Amino acid sequence: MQLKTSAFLMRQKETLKAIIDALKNEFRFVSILGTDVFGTSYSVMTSGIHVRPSPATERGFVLRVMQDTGFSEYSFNVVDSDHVCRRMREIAGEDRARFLKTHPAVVYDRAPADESKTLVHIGEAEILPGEEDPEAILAELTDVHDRVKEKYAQVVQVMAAIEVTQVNKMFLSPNRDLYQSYAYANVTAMAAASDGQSVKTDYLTKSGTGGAEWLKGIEPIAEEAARRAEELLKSEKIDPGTYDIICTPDFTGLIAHEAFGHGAEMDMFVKQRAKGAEYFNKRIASDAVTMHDGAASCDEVASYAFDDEGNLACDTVIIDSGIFVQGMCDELSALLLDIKPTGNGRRDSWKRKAYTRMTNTFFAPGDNSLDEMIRGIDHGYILEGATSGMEDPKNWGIQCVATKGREIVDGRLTGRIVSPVYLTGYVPDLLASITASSPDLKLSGAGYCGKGWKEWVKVSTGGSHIKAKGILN
Amino acid sequence: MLHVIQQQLERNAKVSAWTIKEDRSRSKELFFIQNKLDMNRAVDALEYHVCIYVDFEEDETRYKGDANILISASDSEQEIASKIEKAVFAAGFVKNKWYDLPEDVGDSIPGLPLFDNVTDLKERYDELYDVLFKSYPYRSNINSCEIFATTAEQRIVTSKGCDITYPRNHWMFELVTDDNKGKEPVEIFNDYDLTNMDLEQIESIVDRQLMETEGRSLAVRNEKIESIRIILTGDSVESLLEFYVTQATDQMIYSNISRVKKGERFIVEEAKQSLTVTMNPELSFSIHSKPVDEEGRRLKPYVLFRDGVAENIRSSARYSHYLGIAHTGMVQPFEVEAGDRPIDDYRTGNYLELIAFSSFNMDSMSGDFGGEFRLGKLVQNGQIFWVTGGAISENIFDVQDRMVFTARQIRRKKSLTPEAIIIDGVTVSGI
Repeated sequence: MQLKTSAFLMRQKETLKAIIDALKNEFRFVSILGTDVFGTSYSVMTSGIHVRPSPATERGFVLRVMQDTGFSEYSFNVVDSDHVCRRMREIAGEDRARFLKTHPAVVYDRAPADESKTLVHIGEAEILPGEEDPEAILAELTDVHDRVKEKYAQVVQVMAAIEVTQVNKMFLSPNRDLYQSYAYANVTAMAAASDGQSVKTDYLTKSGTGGAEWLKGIEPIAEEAARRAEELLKSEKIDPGTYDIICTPDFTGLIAHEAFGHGAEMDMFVKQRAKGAEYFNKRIASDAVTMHDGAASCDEVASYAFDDEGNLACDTVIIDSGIFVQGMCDELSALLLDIKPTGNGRRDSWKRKAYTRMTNTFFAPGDNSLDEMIRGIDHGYILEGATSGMEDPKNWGIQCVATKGREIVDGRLTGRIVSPVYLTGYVPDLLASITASSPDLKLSGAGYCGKGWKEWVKVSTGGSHIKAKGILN
Repeated sequence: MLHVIQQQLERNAKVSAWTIKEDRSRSKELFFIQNKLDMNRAVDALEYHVCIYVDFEEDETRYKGDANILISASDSEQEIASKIEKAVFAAGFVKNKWYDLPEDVGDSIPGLPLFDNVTDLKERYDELYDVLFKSYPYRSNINSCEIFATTAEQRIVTSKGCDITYPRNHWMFELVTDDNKGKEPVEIFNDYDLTNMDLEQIESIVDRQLMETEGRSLAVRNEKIESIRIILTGDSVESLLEFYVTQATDQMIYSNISRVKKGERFIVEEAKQSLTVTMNPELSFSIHSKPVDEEGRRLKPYVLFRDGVAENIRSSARYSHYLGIAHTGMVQPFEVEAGDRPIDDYRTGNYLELIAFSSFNMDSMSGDFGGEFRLGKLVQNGQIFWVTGGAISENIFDVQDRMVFTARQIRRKKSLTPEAIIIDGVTVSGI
């Protein structure tokens, strides 16, 4: 079923166009992004039930102008054209003059292209966001919670949750009139198990475009999360060292995103913060590695028609058979680097600046079987579950934390589990050590990605099983 | 708009209680590449976070359901009504056991000062610029910097009579420093959350980060160490100690995840270090200080742990009712009593002082902690090495008997906590 468009944005459109008309002769470039994102997060936990707005919920606007001295922006959520124009003139005029009075500015040789484009993209969902039945959703989540809690004696806490979000965005400039509505959902199951001494948790997610119809995926992952949480109670500490590793698709995605993806964000090139700049058109990984990013690269939670700067979505091949061929780029960085933006200019919300951000990032699948990979390992681990990660684009250090490692000895799983597992090391070493990947490509988009420690945007990551060598602790 | 929301909530017979948090903020933001200003921005925002409670009975059991909504300043009255109606409907299926929200007691801690950070940034910009970009005695430099000067107020209004407005002072900056003169170029990036534009503090932060960046440039990749004393410093200290606050929080106890029991000892008898934690909503330097929580409970300081014994539980209205304990309020800032000996007393023999992590992980449920460090000072056999790229992985329950705090408390984002934590016998991974 086609999504309903945002009546709120449509209602504001004429006023927004009037603001652009009022300012377009005063500045070299003017644009407005309008956002109206709504949705609901339903969760049933052993300790209580919650109904909250989707974390992405927002409603507001960003006005951007460019003049000879550079770019200025005004974020607002009260639409009064006179007031907005007055504030924008203050910010780009008096404020900017004050800040540049005795200090230098970054110089832009040209303004954004603002090529003429009209686009309307309306996504689909089986159950329209906002029209789902809270009674049925909470009843299903409660039922799943109760069955899983009953079945697993050591599980003290179960969470079964679904988050449904509809994103509506409008981008207007003198020559561009873009509108999109798309929806995504994710189901998450978490379980905490206790043996009276220690507590271990595990979680699983599923995500994709659409609405509350994703609820049907909750039961199997809730059951699996509980089983894995209990299993973790038997886990041991790993003996730190260098091992052969196999990464499950979720952990492969974490590596793609954290270890290399952030370093291919080209606003980092502008600031000379990315070591990747030295590797353009050079080998950065083994032949087995091809990596994509793009809102048009697949159908997941970060699949949109245009970004927050009015640039159309792409499918960007970042690494092609081991060679670093292209980065991702926002509008302003593209101007400074004299390249084309790739539709990766994204904002945390209408209140924040746009940066180069990842969308759906993944390693392309290969044709090696998982069994074959396991058989080829004398002593190593299958790393499973993406707990967290942190980028280091300048130095290419790695921190990726797996929920657990399953031990392999002489080509067989021993049943021994270690947890948690920190994968560290140096990005090119890790990428060069990837010797095999399986055909089972999977992406997941339950989480949000930060830039450094802030600026959260919805992303998906993934890949298939890959075999590599890593330093574990 | 607050009045409109209030009226609509009061008119709805199904609504048994409500809380509204009004967020009103304005900011000026500056984005630098090296010492050049790139974009400047300003934000004016007004939003309302509303929690709607619906009491109902089913099979002779009383429930208090709730649902939260976000209302934006540009929502029409019709849109507000629709959002409230949907939330009321959904809350009617949220079967949380009944409890009551706090009646307002009208007795607040002294108010925090309001800083006009937006005006201050404009007026004292030249002084700030000089502090940021002056010459420091290191070969490292500022790569880029982002400044968010925010003047904000929050107002909590509840159906139980609470109506308090308080400042939400925030002067945040992201600082990226690099050193391109070593064998490999290196950087360190951090966010700093201050309540106001304290130039002295900013200067000290920049100085410290530039020094650490130069240190990282000199660092070599860490080799595996089987057993060594580590000295945790920086933000990891707060993250680790916050574990005790989370464990003594009502929901963790109600969920059977925490073993904390009021009046009982939480840390082991063999622990080298006594543990005294005080929740303090009045920490003037913390951006998390406030006089009231989101349920409308006026906040006051209270002791959480005294000498390792849980004296109070950090609690909300709901879970304090379920557990039958005192409702203390959800205070965030905390203080941890320092140890007896200064940090230099522990800088003897072989040790690894961990200065910066890529991201220090503290699992609030299991007690697992660790991470990859970006800078450490390794002292082995009298020689000093800067090291990077190693990692630690431990569990707080396993290290209690070999963990101590140093003397002297220092200010962190939401705490006043010991300068360092010493843990003996830690294995460190490396190449």
